Amino acid sequence: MMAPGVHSEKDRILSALDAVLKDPPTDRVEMFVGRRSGGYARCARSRIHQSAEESGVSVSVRAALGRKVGVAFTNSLTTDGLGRALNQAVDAARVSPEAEYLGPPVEPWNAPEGVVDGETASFGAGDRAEALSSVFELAEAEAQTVAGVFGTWVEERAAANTSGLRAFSARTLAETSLIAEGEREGNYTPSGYAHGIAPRAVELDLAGLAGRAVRRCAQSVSPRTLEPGEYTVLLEPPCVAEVLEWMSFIGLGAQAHLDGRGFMSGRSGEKITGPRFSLWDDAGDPDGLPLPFDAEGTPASRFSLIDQGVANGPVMDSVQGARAGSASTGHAVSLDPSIECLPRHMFMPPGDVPLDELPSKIERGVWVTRFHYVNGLLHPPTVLMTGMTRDGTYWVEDGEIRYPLYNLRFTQGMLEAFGNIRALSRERERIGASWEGGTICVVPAMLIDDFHITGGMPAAAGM
Amino acid sequence: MKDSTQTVLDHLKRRGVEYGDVRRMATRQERLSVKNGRVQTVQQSEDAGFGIRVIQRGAWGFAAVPEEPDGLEERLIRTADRAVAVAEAAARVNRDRVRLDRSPPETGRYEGVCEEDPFQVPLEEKIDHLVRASEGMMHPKVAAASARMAAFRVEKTFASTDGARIEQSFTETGAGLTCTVREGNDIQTRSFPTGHGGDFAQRGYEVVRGMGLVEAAPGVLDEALELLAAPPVPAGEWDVILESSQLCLQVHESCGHPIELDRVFGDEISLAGGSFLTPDKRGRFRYGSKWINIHADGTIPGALGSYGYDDEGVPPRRVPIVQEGLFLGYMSSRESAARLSENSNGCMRADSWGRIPLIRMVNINLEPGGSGAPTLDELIADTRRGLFIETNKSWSIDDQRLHFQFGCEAAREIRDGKLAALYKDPIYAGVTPQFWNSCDAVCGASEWRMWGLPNCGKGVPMQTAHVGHGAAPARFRGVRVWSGG
Repeated sequence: MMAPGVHSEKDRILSALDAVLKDPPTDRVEMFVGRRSGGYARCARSRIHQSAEESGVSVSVRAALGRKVGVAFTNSLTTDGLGRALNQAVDAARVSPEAEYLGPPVEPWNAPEGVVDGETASFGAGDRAEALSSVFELAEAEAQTVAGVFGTWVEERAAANTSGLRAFSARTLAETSLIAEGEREGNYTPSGYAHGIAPRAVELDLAGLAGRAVRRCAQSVSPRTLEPGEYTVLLEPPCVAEVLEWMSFIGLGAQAHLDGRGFMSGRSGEKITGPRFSLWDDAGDPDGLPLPFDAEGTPASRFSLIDQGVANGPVMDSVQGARAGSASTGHAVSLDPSIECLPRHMFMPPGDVPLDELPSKIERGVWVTRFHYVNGLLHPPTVLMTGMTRDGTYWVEDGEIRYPLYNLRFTQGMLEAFGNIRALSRERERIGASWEGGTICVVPAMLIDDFHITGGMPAAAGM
Repeated sequence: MKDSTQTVLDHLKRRGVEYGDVRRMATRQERLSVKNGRVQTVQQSEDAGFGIRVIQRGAWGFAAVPEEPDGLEERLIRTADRAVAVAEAAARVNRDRVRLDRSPPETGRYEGVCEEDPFQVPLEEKIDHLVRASEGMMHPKVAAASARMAAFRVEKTFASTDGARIEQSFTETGAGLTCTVREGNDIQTRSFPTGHGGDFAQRGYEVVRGMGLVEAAPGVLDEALELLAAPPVPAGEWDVILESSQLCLQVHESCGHPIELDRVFGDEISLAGGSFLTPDKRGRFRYGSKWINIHADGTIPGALGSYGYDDEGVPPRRVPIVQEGLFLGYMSSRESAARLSENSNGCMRADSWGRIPLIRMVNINLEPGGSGAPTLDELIADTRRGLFIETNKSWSIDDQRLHFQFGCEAAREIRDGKLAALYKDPIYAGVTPQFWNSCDAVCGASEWRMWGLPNCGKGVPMQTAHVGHGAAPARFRGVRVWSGG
């Protein structure tokens, strides 16, 4: 629901789609519109160095001539622009061989229109700058500076097809990532991190987030090295979310799964990891910045991916559903059938240990604030991943942080790691980015035993 | 269009901005994908709009608007006003002022190399080409036999309140094969001519015709199947020869990114991190051995990281980065160069009209060895025991670009100067300057080639740049290697 006074392009978008679909050149046309307007400010060294306002639209068109399919994209909502894109899609379909799989178009249904917060929608460059200014002051009081980003957006989406579907939804988003930095020590700069994303700007507790980043930065001064080995690790929610996002790329979508490339391929119903690990996707859950339908217009619904360590199966769009002999699960990312369908609103259940009590369960181990540059393409069958730690890595003994560590490298099979979960935090955090293709995860912190640390940043670059 | 641009610039001058530029960018794309002999997608795409950047009261502001003909001039003026308002908001917070270098305003036109327009080649012909290549990789153990190609046409105009007036037009084309095979719980992949979607150049369809995709396909399948039967690479310290495309990715991650001067000054901390190559190291730091010579060069005809002018209107040039192992230079923008009291070397690019230009790699090239440098065969013959490692599979590096780890598709043992057993899932790791200082040979010019990477990510919001890298195979002593399988 759009708040009073907030500019909406709903009528323009739906009128444009109606105009094109009124007299289509073929029986089957599907269209998806994504529109985004708003702005962001990036900062470094407590100075805004990039600040922008933008509005843009992306329209995708899928046309089918029998089983021949073509796809076209445009950033124009004009009748001419949409008509041109439709003709391109039809021309592409005309020369294409017949598609092996083609699911049914989505039938009309009454999609919820989402919630738009008027205050967030009307946030301007001055509001964003002022918000960051208060963060800079907090850091300055501790002789630190801040790098990061703060953005506010209105997103509108529409799906329509020649079967009569007309679905529209809108939402607002506010998000920030803050890195507090201390004085550089050779190749290392002490830093702390905090992240927030919410449907309303007022829900982002910037002062609280900045305070967390500043405290962590203060704890990161004068790090020590750590020998490679197997350690108990406390992974905060940003670490967990990054691993889940990579897991989605390499095996939670149906293309990889049905190709036989995914880590659940041929293993549905089998125990693939430990019983403390469950994962589902639900784009309709209010906690996950909901999107009521996917790129094909299929309604969002909850889908279990892994339940207490047992593989359930991958998410599907209509094409992969047809391939599997089942229905779409509502996870089409694009109308382009070559683009993998993905879970983009992933949830894990909470644990039973309060977050601030998790460290007390560590006798000797490593506390990790976040990962950096994770890559999950090493060996997909075992979900082998590597990456670095960043912005606050600490050595914990007898439940207390003893000293900070230089950033560490891990190389770890994640199915094995999730089999070694000792505890999950009672609290969950919403982690993600709203930028195009962003995945939202609502996840707890994890305490994992026998995690493979395989190297780390050197204390000096040498030479 | 020129009239609209001039109207915006006149408006910005009336608003009293310290600097302003208007950039129009129109992109056409075509992407074709075939898997297991069946067409996956035939996709056409068009996109056009304007980005307006200003400095007002010492701060940057940017606003962007899509190109739609109705009321364009009025919408451009409104967008320019938004850019000014954004800058003024930042100025109220910032304590220091943006200062630009003294790069002179340029006027000119750049046209890329394109012998055969990929958009004029019949779609049926292109699809048939990919279908035949994909079919050449079919086998019962194949999970996915993929053949892809893509073409891009970019039109840009740039004008600034300084007086710059530039038009650019270029075409980029590329293609590649990927064959993924599975047996039990093992999955192996072999790619051609390199991984992650193939190889690209700022050229036309002649790039695809010259690749020999159909002819290469059976060999790609054979190598993938061979990997299924191969043992994991034995862990240990090995002398390693990296083939050209993997070495290019090594250059990309451990040299290209850390010499981006915006990173060096901390502007990219919020996503990708900083750089260990701080200005105090310039001219003094031993980045690599005497065999290591690296240039940034955006002037190479046909290379993916080439252009006539960057998105600040500055022409790129050939810049020495590492000379005989000594660290010398950066890639810069007008703002970052001014901080070093220099002029920009023309590396600012945005991936669309709606994004702010950032410092992006041009072509970052490891130069071939000089006279007397070995061929690959000679280098292998000169290696008593080692590994020849090919084709990237995974990549990761820390936020200062020091500790890296790469996974590759295949490793071939070198025993007494000859290629021997094949190993799968090789991973190697190291620390950037230690690794480059362990290099004791770079092959000669006959083995050197350019590669085009169309997927370099940077910035928030994320931007994807098309960049180029050239290298000949090189040998590194005592590298830590193990198996990821």
